[in-house]
Amino acid sequence: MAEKPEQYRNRVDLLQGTLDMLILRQLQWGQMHGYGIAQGIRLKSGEALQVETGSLYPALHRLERQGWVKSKWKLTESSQRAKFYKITKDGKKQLAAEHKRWERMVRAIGAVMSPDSAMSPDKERA
Amino acid sequence: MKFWPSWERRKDDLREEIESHLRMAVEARVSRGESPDEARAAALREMGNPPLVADVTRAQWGWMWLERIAQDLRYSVRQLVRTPGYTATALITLTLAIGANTAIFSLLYAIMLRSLPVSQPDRIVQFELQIGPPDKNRKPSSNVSGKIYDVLAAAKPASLSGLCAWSKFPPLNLHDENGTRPAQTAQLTGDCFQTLGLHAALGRLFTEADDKPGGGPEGYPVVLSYDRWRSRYGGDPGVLGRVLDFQGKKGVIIGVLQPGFESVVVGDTPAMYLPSEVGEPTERHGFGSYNRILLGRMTDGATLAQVQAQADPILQAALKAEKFTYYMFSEGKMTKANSSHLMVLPGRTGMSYLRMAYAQPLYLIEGMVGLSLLVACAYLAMLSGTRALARRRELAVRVALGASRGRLTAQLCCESLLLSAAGMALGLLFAWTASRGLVSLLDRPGSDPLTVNTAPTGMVLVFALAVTGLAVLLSGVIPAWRASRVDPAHEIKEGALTHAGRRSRSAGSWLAPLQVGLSLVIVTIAALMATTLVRLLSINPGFSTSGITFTRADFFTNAKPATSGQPKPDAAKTKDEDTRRPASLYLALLDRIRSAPGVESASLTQMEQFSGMLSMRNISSTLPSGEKRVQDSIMSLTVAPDYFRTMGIPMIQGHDFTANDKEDAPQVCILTKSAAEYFFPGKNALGQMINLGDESDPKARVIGVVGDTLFLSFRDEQRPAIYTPFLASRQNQYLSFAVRSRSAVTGEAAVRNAFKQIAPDVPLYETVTVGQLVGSAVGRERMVVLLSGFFALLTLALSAIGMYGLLNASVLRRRREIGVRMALGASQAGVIRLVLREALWLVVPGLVLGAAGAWGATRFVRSLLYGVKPLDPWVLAASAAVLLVTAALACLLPARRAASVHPMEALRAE
Repeated sequence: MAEKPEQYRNRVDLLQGTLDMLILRQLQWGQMHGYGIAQGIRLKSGEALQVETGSLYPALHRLERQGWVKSKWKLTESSQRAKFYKITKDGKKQLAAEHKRWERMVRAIGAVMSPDSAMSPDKERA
Repeated sequence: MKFWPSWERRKDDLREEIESHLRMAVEARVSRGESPDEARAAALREMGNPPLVADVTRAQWGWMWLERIAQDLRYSVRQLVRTPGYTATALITLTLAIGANTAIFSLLYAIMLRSLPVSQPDRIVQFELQIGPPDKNRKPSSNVSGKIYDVLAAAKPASLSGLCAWSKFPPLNLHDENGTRPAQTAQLTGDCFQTLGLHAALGRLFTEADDKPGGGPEGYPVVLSYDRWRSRYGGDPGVLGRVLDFQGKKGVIIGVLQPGFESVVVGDTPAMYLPSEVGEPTERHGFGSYNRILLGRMTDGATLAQVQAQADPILQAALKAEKFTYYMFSEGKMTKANSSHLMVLPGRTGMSYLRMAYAQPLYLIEGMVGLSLLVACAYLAMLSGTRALARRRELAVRVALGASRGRLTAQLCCESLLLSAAGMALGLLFAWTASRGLVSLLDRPGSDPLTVNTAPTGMVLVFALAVTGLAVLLSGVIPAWRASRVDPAHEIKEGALTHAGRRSRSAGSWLAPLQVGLSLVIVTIAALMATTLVRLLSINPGFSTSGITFTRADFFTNAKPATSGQPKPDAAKTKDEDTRRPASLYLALLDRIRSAPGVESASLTQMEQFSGMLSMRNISSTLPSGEKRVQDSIMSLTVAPDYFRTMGIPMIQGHDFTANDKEDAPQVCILTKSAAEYFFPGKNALGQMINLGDESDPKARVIGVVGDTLFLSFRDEQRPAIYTPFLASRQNQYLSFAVRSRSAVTGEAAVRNAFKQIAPDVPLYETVTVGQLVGSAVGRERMVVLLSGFFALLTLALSAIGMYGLLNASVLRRRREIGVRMALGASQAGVIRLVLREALWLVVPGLVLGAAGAWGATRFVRSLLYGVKPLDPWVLAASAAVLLVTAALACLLPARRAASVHPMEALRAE
């Protein structure tokens, strides 16, 4: 069993900050269970972002450990038992900070990629 | 532990959460029109492996390491259960190694290092008396006199907040409905309890106000020890006010001391504590009776140097004022000491008579047992090394799959951790039992039983943990780290078919020489000590060492019980005459003893050989030439008739004392051969006159010459001695009845029956056989021989098994090579030589290593040896021979196995 978790973790690392931000964002409008969060991200991104279960739950539990979300067992509309997550005050603060950082990053990357600064030293990937 | 269930609950919770996710995904698909089966398969495909999802999620909880340890432990337990032989061997080795180390340490700690169970023990100081200039043979004595306490207590040095003089003198006898028996008491000055910071468990403790001659109106206040209160009085609170009869001195129980504290003397367990004034005034307040231990408590902030600077001048002034001079024993005689000083020493650990004799042996044995631990660890490291070797392929696969080296090491260590933990638990049990046996080895027959608390608590537990940690490190972590260095590509490709061409130098090949070396050190020390013991016991002490018993009787105390009349005033007892019994009583007792069945002869003395006592006097002779011969410090014994026959001391000339040698008869004496030769050189001593002192003192006629004997121990030099008739003496009445009889039991019974019939009120002490006296004279050596012999055997066995394992593995590995050699014409003898050569490669470096170790280690035992030098060539050669024989035994089976290799089979197995 030693090895496969490593592979997963690598992918989580890649997405980490971003996935956490996306999850917190989903929770901003009310509590939701894991499946709902994944579906929400999928729909909002126009099917572009698929959140894998193997990344979603580690992220949720990580966020809970940080104290940014809280969880509770509840019934869904279809009377299914599910664990619902709710954003905390700290989580909201974190979301705002992440959001700001993200916007700065997008602006910076946008500036680099815009046509007037065409001389990019990096090799492009095929 | 509440942690584990909640952990499991969390795991269930997570599983349920993932299941609910799956259910919702399936539902969503079904609502979109897929069939339930298809929906479920698709959802599962999308999700991946649910347990794996749970696993990676759990990793976020941060407790993964704990789960891994639990996994490793489970795995290790399975592995250990699967190989019971290995598990049992390792467990026994660890139990013995950890147990022996802990047992010796617990004894060492109890005797040498443990603080007194009093408040702030590091503020306690001890005063010792240095008589004469200090040198190698003249150390300060911890026994000081009561007068020193008196002058210090009167002067009250500012650096001291309290003083305490502690004594076992005088010995008191307790008279009750069961007869009269010696009582184990301690006599303390009134301020002792307060100085030590002790409390009463019941009633009160006595104070300075209680410590006065005659005691209180009801008698001397008596404080019971907690154990005595529980064992003798069943913990009855009504014990307060009970009257005790110390043969005429009345005592009244006023309290019970707190549990846990027994004595400032390590190993003593007094049953009762009495105020110091219960003793004779001369003993209590004299300068010259060295029978007290003197302790003090420093005030906060005071230092030892301050106490020293303040206390010694007080003694000097008092000695000057009283015009008192101490005598010292110098060059075989007593001389006036030109200076005497009070020395202040730390008193944290209290005082112990055992320390002087046993400090060195105990540290020596602790060193040896430490070496045995190393040997045991080397052995275990070799074992776990071979185990890891067998699992090489499995390890390689795991490395190939990406397991880190640390992870592999951790798992391999797990086994030794488990084994060591179990070994420590068993070892503590072993230590607890063994240390009681060790204490009984220190016990001196005839004296109060020694009680040393060796329970595995506190420091001893810490020590056991440290030893276990060392064992885990040496026998687990290091080999595991080495074993985890595997090259997966090589290992998996060639796997078990790999054959090391040359001797593989990896696992254990340097451990075996180390084991041999350490074993040689231990065997050499054991051999030196055994030689010492044999040499000591082969010395003829001048008297026979079997068939004699000694039973001490205390005629000194007033035998009239207090209950049968009014107690006699104490002052009347200060003179011997008042308590002396008529000579006829002793003669009647001796007659009665002699007539008992099985008794050959009987006599009595004040001090038998090897009793641990010395009594000296000065005598002189005047030769016809006018020359005066003087002996200041000649051994002096007073004995009844028949003493020499009973003791087996040869009568060389003349005859023994008779029942007629009484006070009013002409004075006679018997000299030993060396004394006779000294006082009357070149002449027949018989019939000559000896001055019992100077020329002006009374003279005694020499009526016999007897053989010389040793007096203190086998290491003692031969001392000249004079015997005088007991019936004519006026000395104290603390007497030893010597009986030569068929067996010790008949001897003891004869004495006890005679006393029961003629003198039932005289208390008798425990009977001691001459064998016990001789045994206790070599008790220290015997203990070291026993223990070093045990550890020598243990390490030899471990080394042999370890070497056997190594050679055996090598023969198995080289099976094919041996087959080829034999196919090419090598003889069986040649193959055996091959194995022997490999064994020599292990033994010879080990012996060299061991010889160097022995050279270093044996210098520490020099002072324990007798009749043998630390580097005695015979002992060294014999020790090396023992190791060679052990090694030869270890090669026997591997060599046979190698010789029986069938060339065809070995090659075909390829």
